[in-house]
Amino acid sequence: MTGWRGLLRLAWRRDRVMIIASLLVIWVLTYYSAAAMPTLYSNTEQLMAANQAANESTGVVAIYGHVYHLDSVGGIGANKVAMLNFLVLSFLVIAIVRRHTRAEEESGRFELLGSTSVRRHAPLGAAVLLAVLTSLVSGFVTIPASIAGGWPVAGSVLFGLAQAGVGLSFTGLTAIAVQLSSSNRACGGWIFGALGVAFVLRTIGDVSWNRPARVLSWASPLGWGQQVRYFDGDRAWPLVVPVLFLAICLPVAGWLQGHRDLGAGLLADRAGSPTGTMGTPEALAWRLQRAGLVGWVITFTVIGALFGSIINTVGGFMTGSAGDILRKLGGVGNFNDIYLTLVAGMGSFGATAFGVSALMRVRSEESTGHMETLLATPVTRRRFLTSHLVIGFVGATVLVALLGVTMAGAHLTGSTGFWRETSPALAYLPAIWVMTAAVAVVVAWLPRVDWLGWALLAGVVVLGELGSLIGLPSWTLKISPFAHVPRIPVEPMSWAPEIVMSLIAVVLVGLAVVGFRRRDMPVI
Amino acid sequence: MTTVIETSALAKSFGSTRALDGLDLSVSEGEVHGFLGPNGAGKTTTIRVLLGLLHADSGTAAVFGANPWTDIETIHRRIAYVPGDVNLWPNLTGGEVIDLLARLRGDLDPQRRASLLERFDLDPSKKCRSYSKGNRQKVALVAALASRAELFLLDEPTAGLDPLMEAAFAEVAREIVADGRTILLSSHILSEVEQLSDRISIIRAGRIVESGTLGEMRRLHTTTVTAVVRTPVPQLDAMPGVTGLSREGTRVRFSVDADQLDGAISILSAAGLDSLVSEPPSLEQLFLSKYREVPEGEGSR
Ligand SMILES: Nc1ncnc2c1ncn2[C@@H]1O[C@H](COP(=O)(O)OP(=O)(O)OP(=O)(O)O)[C@@H](O)[C@H]1O
Ligand SMILES: [Mg+2]
Repeated sequence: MTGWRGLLRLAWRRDRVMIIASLLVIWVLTYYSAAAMPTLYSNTEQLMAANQAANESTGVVAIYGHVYHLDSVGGIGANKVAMLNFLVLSFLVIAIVRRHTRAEEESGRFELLGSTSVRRHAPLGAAVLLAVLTSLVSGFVTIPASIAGGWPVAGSVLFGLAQAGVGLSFTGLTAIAVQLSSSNRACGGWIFGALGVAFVLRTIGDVSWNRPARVLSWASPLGWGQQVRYFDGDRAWPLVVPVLFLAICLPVAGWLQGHRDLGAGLLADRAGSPTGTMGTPEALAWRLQRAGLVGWVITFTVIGALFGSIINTVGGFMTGSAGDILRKLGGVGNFNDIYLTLVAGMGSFGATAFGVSALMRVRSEESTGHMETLLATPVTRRRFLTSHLVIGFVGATVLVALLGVTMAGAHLTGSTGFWRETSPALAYLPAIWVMTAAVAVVVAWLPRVDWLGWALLAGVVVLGELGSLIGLPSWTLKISPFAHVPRIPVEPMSWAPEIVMSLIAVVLVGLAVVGFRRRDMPVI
Repeated sequence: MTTVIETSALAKSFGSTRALDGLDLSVSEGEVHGFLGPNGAGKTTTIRVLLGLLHADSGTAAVFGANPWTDIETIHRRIAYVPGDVNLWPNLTGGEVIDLLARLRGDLDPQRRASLLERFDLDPSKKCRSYSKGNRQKVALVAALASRAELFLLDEPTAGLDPLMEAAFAEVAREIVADGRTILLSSHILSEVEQLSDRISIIRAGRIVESGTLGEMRRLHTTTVTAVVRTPVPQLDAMPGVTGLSREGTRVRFSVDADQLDGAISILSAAGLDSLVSEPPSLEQLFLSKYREVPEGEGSR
């Protein structure tokens, strides 16, 4: 593997900011989640009540997992931060492996390397090594953070190692995914699809924790991490699974790579049409974004139907301290209603992620040089930006509506009304629009720091999911537009914030268009 | 003759880099205007200003008499562009890209398109990601050359093309100007510019240092000669047009202007030649000789 050392150094140089920032997020989340526990639940009864309440809420279990021992010190709080850490780390290792393998190949930079002593497998080797090291380090920084926050040592160690294991699993899966197609984007589709499937499998497994379907948790790399049951039974043996999995994935990826050409995928490109029918920037934008949107539509339909079909198993009213706990976790009221708002809240993050990605596409069109070709034709900048803005706005709106409709539609018996169960998701629309428009402003005015677009999303997710749990002052929580969304039907509908946010979105869109027309292009 | 492109004192900085530093460029209708300059001289930057992609810091630019920053739609209808770094949508086929750009410009001409595809020997049914570099370049060329545009901004259009295709390009380019249309041809390949251009502007460090017809440029040409001679050749020292003379034992090396080449070679052969290597003038030498001609503090700087 001549050359991998140099490649590893190069990869680290290019990725260190991203890696260090992500590890810092994991570290801070872990510490504050642990440190917040004593202030939330001052005695064992309160803790048990919280875990009980979490277990009884199917929505919470579906997203974060089941608590097996009600007296678990980590309990729902640990499950929550663990799931976030797992996802952050998965995204990170996926990004690392893709960037230094398929993305590089697509950009043609390997052809430069090809003339040096870099051997065929060296880039994959270096990328995997960096991802593995990142996973291990993420595990090791989590352990002291968790212990310092006040969680037991044994459980903290297992938590850290379980998290490293999730990183290893997704490193292995990504190494395989980048062999499949000749397009970096399509490879991304495969691996994020796999991540989605892994999440859904463990969702089904976790809500079926006392039924045979629980084995599905074992079909998911996220499930392997959760089944270590840190602070909740402390089992070390599931840690072996991701290690074995990686040991299987890597030779497979190496073999696949050896059996394809540089720049090509295993699934070969078919010849396409020799003539085209597209003739507008809108048609082009749609063509570029539709595959992504279709993936999101399928995901949202499945999740909506899945979560809608289990509403009835939630049931019951809550009382006493359990209500207290749930208020801290997101609100009070009828369990079913809380569940609806919870799923709508998660879905709104997903729809925002689509809106963000649709606008970030403008930036990637710019940095790849495609936009320059387009803007040299009579297409104006405003029309070009608008074509992607429309996809971002309409796409996110359709996704949220789909989630609401499929969830309400799948809730067949005992429905409290189709509109009533659809509207919690729709209430998030103005907040989603604000976020999407804000990213457009970043793309227009701050192209050099376009990562801010994703950072905005990450910021509001952290504020919304963990802000109150880790005791941030309330004014910081209010920065997020999602904090102003009425949690219907738990809270009454209030139009004022919705209207104000919609207006803000309009203003931001105008601002973005102005900035986009004024600045130099392309900014690479 | 109508002026198609006219810039005066155009300046553009990126941070501390002064990419354009008072650029005066003038391109007339119906000519191939060679735009020559070394890497980083500002060719691409100039073209981007002319396309309204970059906003100049100062100075003026006019394309068809209109402002390229504000009159985008009217100007772009009359322009075809081949970027220096051709990158096309990896998921679209070459044919789809060609047709998309034609429709956006509003002038799809299936016959012209078909004939160009044939002349450039291009298969339009492949996805752009699977084209070789040269074939990607051809897609961009066909898309531009198939149009009825009046002005072609071509930024190093033959990069990556094989000699056969370079010839095909040259042929099409000649047809286009014969039609009364205009080509701004940016390049650092001297020979290409030489065989196609009616007029040439040489850009260096963001300024036009020389502009004129080929004949006017000839005097800038120098050839590098390396020879091993049997007897010394002191005559070269005093010979006009010879520069950079160096000796190493029996080996002599010098640059000589094109019109003095004949004389220099006869001196060498009279001295008795053991070996003779002459290198065609490179662009870099052209600039070097150019800079030697311009005294410090005068002319371009
Ligand atoms: N977006 C940018 N940001 C910063 N500097 C830039 C940018 N674009 C160009 N430059 C700088 O401006 C100068 C002129 O660049 P330009 O691309 O116009 O040169 P060029 O003549 O086209 O060179 P080449 O022959 O290599 O294509 C260079 O020094 C370059 O580094
Ligand atoms: Mg250039």
